[in-house]
Amino acid sequence: MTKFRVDRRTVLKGTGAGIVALGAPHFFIRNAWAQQFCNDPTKGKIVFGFNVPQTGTYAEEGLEQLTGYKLAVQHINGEGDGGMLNTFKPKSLKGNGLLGRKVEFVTGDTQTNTDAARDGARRMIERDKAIMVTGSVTSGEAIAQQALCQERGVIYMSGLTHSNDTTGKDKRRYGFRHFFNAYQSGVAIAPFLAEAYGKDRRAYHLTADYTWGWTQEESIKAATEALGWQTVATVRTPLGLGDYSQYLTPVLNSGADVLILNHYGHDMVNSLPQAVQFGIRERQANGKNFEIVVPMFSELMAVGAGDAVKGIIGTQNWNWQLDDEASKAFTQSYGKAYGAPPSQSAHTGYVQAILYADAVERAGTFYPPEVIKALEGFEFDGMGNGPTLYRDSDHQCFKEVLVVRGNEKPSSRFDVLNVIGKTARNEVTYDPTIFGGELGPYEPNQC
Amino acid sequence: MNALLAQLLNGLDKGGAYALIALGLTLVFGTLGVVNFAHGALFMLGCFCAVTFRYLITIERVTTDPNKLSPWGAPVEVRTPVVQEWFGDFGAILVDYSVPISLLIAVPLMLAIGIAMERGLIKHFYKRSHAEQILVTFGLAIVLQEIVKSLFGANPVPQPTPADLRGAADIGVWFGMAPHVLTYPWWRLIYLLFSVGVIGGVFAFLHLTTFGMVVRAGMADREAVGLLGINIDRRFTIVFGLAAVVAGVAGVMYTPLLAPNYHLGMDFLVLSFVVVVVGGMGSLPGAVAAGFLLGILQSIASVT
Repeated sequence: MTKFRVDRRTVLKGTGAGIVALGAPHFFIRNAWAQQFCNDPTKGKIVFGFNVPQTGTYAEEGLEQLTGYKLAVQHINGEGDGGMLNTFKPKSLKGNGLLGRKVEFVTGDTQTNTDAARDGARRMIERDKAIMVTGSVTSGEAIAQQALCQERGVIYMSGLTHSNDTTGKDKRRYGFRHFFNAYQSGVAIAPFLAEAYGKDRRAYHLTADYTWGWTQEESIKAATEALGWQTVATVRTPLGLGDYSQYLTPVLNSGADVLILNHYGHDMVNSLPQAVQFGIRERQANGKNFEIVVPMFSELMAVGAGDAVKGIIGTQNWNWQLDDEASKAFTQSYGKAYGAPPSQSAHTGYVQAILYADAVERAGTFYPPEVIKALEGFEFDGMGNGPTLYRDSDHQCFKEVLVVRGNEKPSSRFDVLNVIGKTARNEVTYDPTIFGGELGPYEPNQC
Repeated sequence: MNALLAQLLNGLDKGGAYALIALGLTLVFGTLGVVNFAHGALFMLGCFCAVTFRYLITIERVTTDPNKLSPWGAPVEVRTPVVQEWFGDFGAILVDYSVPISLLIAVPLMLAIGIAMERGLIKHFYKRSHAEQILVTFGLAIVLQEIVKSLFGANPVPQPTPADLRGAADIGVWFGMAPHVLTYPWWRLIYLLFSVGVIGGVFAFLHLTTFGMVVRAGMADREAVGLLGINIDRRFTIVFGLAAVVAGVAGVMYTPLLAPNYHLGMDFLVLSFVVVVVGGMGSLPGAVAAGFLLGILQSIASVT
């Protein structure tokens, strides 16, 4: 009888064989494990996370965005009159929920604060098991939530964000933006400025001192200088400054004849009326009337600025007064639900929720890489902006941009802005490499 | 040179606001020895007195016409301001001048609020340390802020300048310069004169009335005044109310310059404390001078 000797060599051989034997099945089920992703709703509820500012500087815009999201969920679940689901094409949603199941949602308050936005998104992913997070009014919130969602392998559909960086240098594979950006505003507004004010102008920029302000200033400066305008000065103003008098006084004798306010929200609600109070619009400089331009508007800002907004040119992502079928359908649907016409904030929220749901339906799965591929390169129409492309190289929507002007005789607080023109999609399309940034991998991280 | 002069003017009107708030703060500190972090909230409440008055005076009667639908499917509303129905043209003037007229309701209202604050809360913290006073008044400021936010919303509510007083005054011409070289909005000039007037009124009150004399004596030595049989507590309560009124009217008149919103108080509070400290805690002329100085410095600092 041979003695079974346990020596080092035997142990090593045995261990090696054991590892191969135990590991072999893993090679066959490797792909099955790879389909695991964060908050897979096949095992639970389908939850959308709506993370908007409900308090803080942009609370009113955030609450409007939330109304758009809630309406979208109703329409996805087949309730209500369907709104833009009746005009949206090519549509995969069937009006019976998402992949046949009802969608639910949770809401969060970003407090118009980047850190609170990130925490809210994290809570929605970890505690509320959200499969998709959406919502923002400032670019800071959007960029922060986008980065967090990329880390967690959850898709983020941004809300209202205008900085070039969101789909520029801070672009992410898991982030998507429908709202236009500062570059597109610049290109859209330039021909209208040339027509209204001429090509021989000297501009003075007052810019909110954060990412959005800088990118808008850069884009508007480039667009106006391409027209032939000169830029006299670009001055940064602290965000949230109430009294702009110390910045407005130097404008009057600077040799400029156009004041460009790269301000949003409360900043613009203060700076524009104060600029008008200083008599800037009654002045003459270089033989021409002194003009003021506010490149990016929202309806709430225009209401807040009161009479000062009359005649001021700016741009918007969407306006309820557009006369295409989709815009009318959405305005009617929203008006019946809430008694007032929708703002661009509500519109972009609604559209983003619908686009995500439709992409899931089209992909037939909630698995993020498949949903992302369904959205990348998606051409659609019937959402109020004409034919639109969700570009694959930067996850930015390309569509026509509206140029608006403050209404001289508004009949109510809902028509303080009039659409004076649209700039075609091909004119506002740009080479994605001009902003840099990398989308990153498709593979989902585990949360 | 002109740029500097223009910034100087800018600084004066902003300095006026700081001086008024700091005046109230110093009054409270000098008399009661209380560090009142809710003073910015009193300024904000003054702004919202003007907002409330305007809201009341522009109440409209809304009739809906069910046969006419707006583009978004709701019935068209026909709005008629009630005040104009009752008073005709005079009503229109009332609405236009709502900001200065709201001073009439702001004064008694702020007095009441100030006295209520003092009797209700601050009184219990006289003997406590400054840190506790700061905590409780800061907490009160936050509570007031949130109450205002829940009543009026988070958006700023702009108040218009009376129509005749819009536009800018050509100050340069008054001093012999060429036209359009040095202009300044009318309302800011009015605000500057108003704040100087209020400051003058407060000083006159303190120096030319018996009440003021007792208050000044109490600021110097409270115990001695008590020993003389004078009820110094009641007088100091009224002084607190007066400080609240000063902050409140500063707020009312500031509304056309800066759309009031719920966190306005905090924005002004921090700088007001700087003013009080620079001016010397408890020194009234110091607070006023430092207020104007800070306003001017802030303006000139942005001259590039």
